[in-house]
Amino acid sequence: MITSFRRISASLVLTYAALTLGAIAVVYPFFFMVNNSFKTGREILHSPTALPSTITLIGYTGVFEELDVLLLFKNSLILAVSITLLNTLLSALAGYAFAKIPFPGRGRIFGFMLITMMIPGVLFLIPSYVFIYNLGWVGHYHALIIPSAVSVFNIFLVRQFMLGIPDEIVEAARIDGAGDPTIFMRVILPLARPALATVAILTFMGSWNDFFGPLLYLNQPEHWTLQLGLLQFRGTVPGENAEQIWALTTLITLPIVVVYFFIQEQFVKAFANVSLSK
Amino acid sequence: MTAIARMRTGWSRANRRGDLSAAALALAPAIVLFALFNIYPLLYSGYLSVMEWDGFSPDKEYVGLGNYKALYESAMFRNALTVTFTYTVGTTLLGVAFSLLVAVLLNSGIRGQNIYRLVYFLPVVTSTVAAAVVWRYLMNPGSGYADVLLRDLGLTPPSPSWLRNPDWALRIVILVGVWKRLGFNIVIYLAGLQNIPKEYYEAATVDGAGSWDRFRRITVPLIAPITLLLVIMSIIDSFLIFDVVYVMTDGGPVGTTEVVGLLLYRQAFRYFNLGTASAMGWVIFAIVFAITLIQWKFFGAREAGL
Repeated sequence: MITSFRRISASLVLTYAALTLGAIAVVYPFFFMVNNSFKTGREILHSPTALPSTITLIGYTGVFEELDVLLLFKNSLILAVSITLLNTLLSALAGYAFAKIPFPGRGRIFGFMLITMMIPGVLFLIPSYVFIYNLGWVGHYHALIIPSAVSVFNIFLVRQFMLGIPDEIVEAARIDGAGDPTIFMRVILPLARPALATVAILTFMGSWNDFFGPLLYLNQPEHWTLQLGLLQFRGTVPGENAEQIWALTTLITLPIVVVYFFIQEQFVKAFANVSLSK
Repeated sequence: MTAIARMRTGWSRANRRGDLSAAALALAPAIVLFALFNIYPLLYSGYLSVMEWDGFSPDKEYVGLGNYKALYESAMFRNALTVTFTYTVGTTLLGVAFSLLVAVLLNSGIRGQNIYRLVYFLPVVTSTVAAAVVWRYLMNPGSGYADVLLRDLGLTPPSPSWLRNPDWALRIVILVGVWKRLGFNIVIYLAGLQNIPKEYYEAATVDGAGSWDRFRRITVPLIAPITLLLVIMSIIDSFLIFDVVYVMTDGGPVGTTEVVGLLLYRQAFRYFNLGTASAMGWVIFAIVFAITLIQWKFFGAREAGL
């Protein structure tokens, strides 16, 4: 009895030890970043791993002087919010049509869209750039917003979810005299909330963290996003402004981590939904 | 009339005319954008891949399969493919193995599962640029954390330092790739592990199977479909890696981290060889498509066998 109890607790201790060690390794870069954001540049250089001897906000005040952080933040927010709203709306509409409105050629159109999902984004890079350039959109937000408004993958996610909503509910509403707009707004949208939340979370995260799109299309500093600001900032004064770089990376990482903390379950479910419906 | 009101009247009118118009109205915005920003660029990219063009001059020159032939003969492209394959294999194997280990430990009935999951998932939601900048500094020569740690342990860091060392740079990039991906794999694995009936483990324990036996004979085969799914997803993502490398090493030192995504970007936006870059895009597509196809075949067979 006693030996088996000991064996169990020994393996339990080992389990906790392994998990905690791994967790520390995973979280260390975040700790390093936040920790150094409260030090002076000289202290970062001489003792990068130690805790700050005195907590200073010099990095934060400095980066606000060097960069228009609020503007970058605003730009990132404008982009992420518009893309998320548009994309979620269009995914809901298209998903509804593909799942709940029988029309000729539905399967074929949807199947065709699915096949294009396997095409890697790099293939679109150049032709899209040339096309958007010719439209005269380079340097404007809509160069990023309009093409990102539609994602086949999100339509697919919403459609899969809406297929699970029983047709009887839709039929009952139709018998009550409801047209498609009413059914969509009053019946389908509320029921499809989990799928729409998934789409919204993934889209927002993708667009907030994207730096390649802004790098290509937003060449004017007044349009730069946080990610682009960090990229350029890092390039300009190497080594001189370490404390400001840590302050800025902390500021960039913070919003999405805070959102993640608050809706952790939805986030995790969003990712689980994605792969399990693939 | 506001746009929404206009849409609403148009829509209810459409409804009287039947399902087709309702569907057309609901689909129209998505289909139009899809055609403009997916189909058209795809066709245009095929066209560009048989042309020689610098993106500025009004004339494009038809070169047939010349761009593809040049790629086939290009040592730079071959190097990029090798680097990308190494990165893909490394990230996929390590990412899947570690995440299965962590997921099984997390699923063994410990307390605080949620907290651990939260921590391991953190890198997944972090911006790539911020993560790459942090990792670059961790690997900084002399003052970086890696060097400090090794010195504290009485070891000598490699010279030249990590990201400037041709042997080490790609390993560090793989490490960052695994770090960024681990939490995602863990979450998917956990969902799968929770679907395995507890009775299987109980029956095996009654039959005298140890924990290693249970892992090998129950967990691994029953979780195989998810493993294959994660492997496919990881291969597709890793093969198209660009951003981490762009920020951390920009392909160096001496091309040891120059992945195909980066080479394509450089050809297109630094050297303005749009034809070559387009052809490269199609070759990458063909490779990813072939890998996916082979794996889906394998995946399907495996699933049917279970």
